[in-house]
This record gives sequence, C-alpha cells and structure tokens, in this order.
Amino acid sequence: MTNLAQRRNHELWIARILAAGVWISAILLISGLLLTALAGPTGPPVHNPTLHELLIELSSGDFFAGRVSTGITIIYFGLIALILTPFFRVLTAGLTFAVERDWRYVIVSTLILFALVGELVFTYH
Amino acid sequence: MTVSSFLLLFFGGLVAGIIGAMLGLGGGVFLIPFLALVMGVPMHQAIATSIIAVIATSSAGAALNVERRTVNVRLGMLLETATVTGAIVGGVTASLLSGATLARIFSVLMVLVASIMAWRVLNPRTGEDSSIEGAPGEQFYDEKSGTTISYTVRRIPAAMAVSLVAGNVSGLLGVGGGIFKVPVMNLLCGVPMKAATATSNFMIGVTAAASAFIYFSEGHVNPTVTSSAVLGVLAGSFAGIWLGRRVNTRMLTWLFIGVLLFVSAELFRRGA
Repeated sequence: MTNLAQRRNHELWIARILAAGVWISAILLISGLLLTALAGPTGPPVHNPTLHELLIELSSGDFFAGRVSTGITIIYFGLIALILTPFFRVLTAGLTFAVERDWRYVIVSTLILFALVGELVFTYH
Repeated sequence: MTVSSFLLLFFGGLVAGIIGAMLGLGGGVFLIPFLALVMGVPMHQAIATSIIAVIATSSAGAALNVERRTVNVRLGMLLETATVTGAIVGGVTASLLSGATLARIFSVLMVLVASIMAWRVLNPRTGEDSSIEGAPGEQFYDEKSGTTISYTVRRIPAAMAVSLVAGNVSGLLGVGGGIFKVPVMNLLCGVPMKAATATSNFMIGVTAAASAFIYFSEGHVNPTVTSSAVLGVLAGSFAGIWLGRRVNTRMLTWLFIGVLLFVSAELFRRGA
C-alpha cells in the first residue's frame, strides 16, 4: 500500500470529480431554465418523460422542435449529469484503490458500480 | 412555469440547503413537505426532486470534505455496499405505493428525525475520540483543535446492517439518510463526529443515485420543479456552511424540531 500522502493526493481527484460534476450540472440547469423562460409558454404541459422516452425523443432529432423543448432538454442533461456524479465518484475511488493496489476496496467499489449500473439497466423501460 | 413559481421553488430549496448544511441533514425532511404541502407537487415527484437535491448537496459538500481530508473514503465505500442495496429496494417499493401512503410514512420519519435531533442536543458529544489501537484506522487534521485525530473503526457488520435500513429509507422517502448514518458511524464504529458527518455526506450522494434513476424511469422527475429546487439547495448548502460557523445552531435545532413535528402532523392528515 502506498503512503498516506500519496493516498491523500489520489483522494483529491475524487474531490475534483465531485466539484466538476456539480458545476457542469449547475451551468446546464441555469441555461435550461433561462431558455425555457425565454421560449415562453409552449402549450399544454406534457407528462414528465421517462428516461426511455427522453432518449427516444433525443435520438429522433426532434428535440428542438418536438414535445421536449431545447431548454427542457438541457435541464434533463443537467439533471442526468448530476445523478451520474456519484457514479464517477465510485469509479474514481475504485481506480485510486487500484493504483494503491488495495484490491479489497477495488472489489468493494466494483460491487457498488455493478449495483448502480444494474439498477439503471433494470429500470430502463 | 411562472417566475413566481421558480422563485418559490428556489427559495424552498435555499432554506432546505441552509438548514441541511447547518444541522447536518440532507434537507429532504424540509424540502419534501414544502413541495407537497406548499407547492402542491405530487408526493412521488417531491421525493424524486429531493433525491436529486441530496445528490447535489452531497457532491458539493463532499468535494470540500475530501479536500479537507475528513472523509473516511474506505469506510464510506464499505458501508455503501449495504446502503445502495437498501436504496434500490426502497426505490422499487416506493413506485408500488400510493402518494398518500408515502406521505404517512414520511410523517412518521419526521417524528423519528425530530426525536433523534432532540436526543443529540440533549446528549452532546464533547471533544473528539482519539485512540491508536494498533489495528489499521484513519486519521485527519482537525483545524479547530489544531491536532491530528486518529481513530480505529469497530463493529463493521452492525454498521452495515443499519446502513441497509438507512439506504432503504433513503430510496423510499427521498432523504439522504445521514440522520441515521452519522450516529451509526459515531456511536457504533467509533468514528469521531466530524469524520462521521463528512463520511456520511460523502455517502448519501451515492445512496441517492442508486434510487434516482428508478424515479426517473417512472416519469416522476419534473424538470422545471427539480432544477429550480436543486439550484436553491446548492446555493443554500454553501450559505449554510458559511452561516454554520457564525450562528449558534442549538436554538435553531429546537425551532426546527418544532417545525418538523407540526409539519409531520399536517402531512399525516393530508395523507389520510
């Protein structure tokens, strides 16, 4: 196992990932809200799309003119970025454990990642 | 969404973030009743909003705490194996329950949270535990005392069992679960309060993410409501950290306990 100072430096990368995720998400959310406000009323409110519906909407290329407006789309990107921040937090932690050759916690991190990704795949419909 | 709605949602999130940061909570116990009772947001959407707000506060606070080296990353990851499992089960369960049922369960949780907060105020932990037992542990530099605190971690299996329950509550009701995790780490595992709080803050984001996509996949995430509240919570978290160093939180804690009990009764009544 590496010394404490080296471990601390690795953990700083985790801090940077967290901060970056928060800032990226905040910028996207603010941008999306501003665009939504500028667009004005867009007709009757639609239901909140599920993740599956959102991805279909985006893949069809209609998100600029379709049910999901540009501003709302950017908001969803911001929310997804925020939700994914902990995923990257766990991934970064696992990589730092691997660099430190702390294989027990590499396994722990991998188990958590499997659970998170598995939940995402299982609930996607 | 109108400007007034945005401002109300942002303000609600701001207060939740300030209270959460000052009192060591994720803010969900304030945010969810505010959204449900004041803004008329359906319970499932309120929980989904709170879940995402918990991720925001966790990520913002954890970035600071990891840099300050008070987070026990290894302990947090170990307990997360149980918490994530509980959160996934909780999230799936929530999708099967009605909003009224969730409101009633949440009102009971609020009473429990108020009780734990009152107990912590009446039984303060003075000073940090510090011991070097010989077994591998952790240490951090405490700015307030100017000393390096070393500690060993005990009773991991018991802590994992409680973490499973805390994760389940988090996924079911949209709270961070820190109100359970901090006492578990401090009282069961022997982790100093400052490190326990920082580690819990680091964990609750991962716990919330475990159930966030469940709510997303069920169509419970309202983009304008969630984004407005989350931005408020983020701003409130930073403001709360700043205020927490300058304000005596004891009186604020008692005031918040009173609010929790009142709102709990109202939420239970609405759920009937």
